Amino acid sequence: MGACRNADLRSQKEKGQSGLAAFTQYAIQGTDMSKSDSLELYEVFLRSRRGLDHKHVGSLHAEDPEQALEYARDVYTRRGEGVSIWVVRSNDICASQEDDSESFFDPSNDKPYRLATYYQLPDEVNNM
Amino acid sequence: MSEDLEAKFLRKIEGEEKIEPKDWMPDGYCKNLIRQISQHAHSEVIGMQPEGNWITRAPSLRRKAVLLAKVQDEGGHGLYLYSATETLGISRDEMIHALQTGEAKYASIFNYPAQTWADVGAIGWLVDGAAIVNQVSLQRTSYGPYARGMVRICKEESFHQRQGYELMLVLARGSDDQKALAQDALNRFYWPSLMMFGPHDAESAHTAKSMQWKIKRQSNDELRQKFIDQTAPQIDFLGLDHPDPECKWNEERGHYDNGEIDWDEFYDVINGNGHCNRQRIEHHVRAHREGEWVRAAMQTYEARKKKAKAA
Ligand SMILES: [Fe+2]
Ligand SMILES: [Fe+2]
Repeated sequence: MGACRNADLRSQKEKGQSGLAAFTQYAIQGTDMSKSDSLELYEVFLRSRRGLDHKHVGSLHAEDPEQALEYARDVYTRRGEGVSIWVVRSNDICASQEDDSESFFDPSNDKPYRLATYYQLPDEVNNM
Repeated sequence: MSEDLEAKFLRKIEGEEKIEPKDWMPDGYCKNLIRQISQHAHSEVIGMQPEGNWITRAPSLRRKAVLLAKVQDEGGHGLYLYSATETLGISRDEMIHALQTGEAKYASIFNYPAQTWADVGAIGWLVDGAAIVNQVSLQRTSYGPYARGMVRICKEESFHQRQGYELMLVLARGSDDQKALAQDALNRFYWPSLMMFGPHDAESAHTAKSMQWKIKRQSNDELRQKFIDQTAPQIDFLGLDHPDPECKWNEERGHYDNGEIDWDEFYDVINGNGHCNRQRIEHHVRAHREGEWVRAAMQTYEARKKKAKAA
């Protein structure tokens, strides 16, 4: 496990910055796999149809962002899976830690009154 | 070349495809969007003021927590919408400046004061209710980031309306005084809520182009009718008097008829003469100024961190 990358993640975690927990693993794996200094790990996001959000689909190694984009096209969209691709350097992703999710997300767990279903209304007016 | 681009753009619009930030778009489309989305963002943020005023005076801890959560949501909605506007190449600073100098507008409804606790109920039920009718329709707007923002916002809005109606229901079933409070809030907020949909279609300056570009999917009058139709039975259920004596079910049309809106009042408030126009902007300017040291401290801290890292 790359000590440097790991330290990076830990410092992000200490700062309490949010991100997407799922990426942590990719980032850590990436350090293991990229023996060569010239290849960097990129995360790939696909928009499957116009109007939808880009969704994370996986990662790959590339020399630079332009190359990453072409590789992503070759390996992630061979069957017309997308109309738009984003690639982001894995190192640039700041992720929250699954282990910390309890304290990280805790403040919203005990507030059921944020949900519409918390308000019981009689049937006649329950369609709002 | 440019004709080609425009034709391609129009074909996408025609085919119900979304326009995304990096696509070519006509200048007018971009400007129109910036105007509408930033105005929407400003409305969310300014809209925190009338209700925020009641957080410390909520009658119970439960009501206080609910109101706090709602007002916090509205701040979040402002952020989603400012971010969507930024995808069109305008900065947050420019938008805040436009708001504070009166160059950009926000929904006139927020220039009405929340005078009593019942107003908090009426605002959730009617003002958020009207906003939901508009926002549900905008989930199908042609600009991708705006449409996706609307989907997110609509998911959160339902609680706003329901907590408001529930509050009204408690008052309407309470003592005579409480019922009177509810009736008074309804009377004051009903008409301004109808005005939230904007002028009649024939008078609306932006409607035609906006509809053609599918920025707006339904006209002001269509949306207003939808709101009138859904609200009449809700008023009835509360056992309150309808503020519009001419509001009657029209079997033939399949809709409620309604009396005419006081458009003089509408334009008067838009042009700055509402109860709270000055106060709302002054408050925003003050809050922004008072936050200056926080922004400065953040920048200083960032700079120091960078320097330490470099060393
Ligand atoms: Fe909102
Ligand atoms: Fe709301």
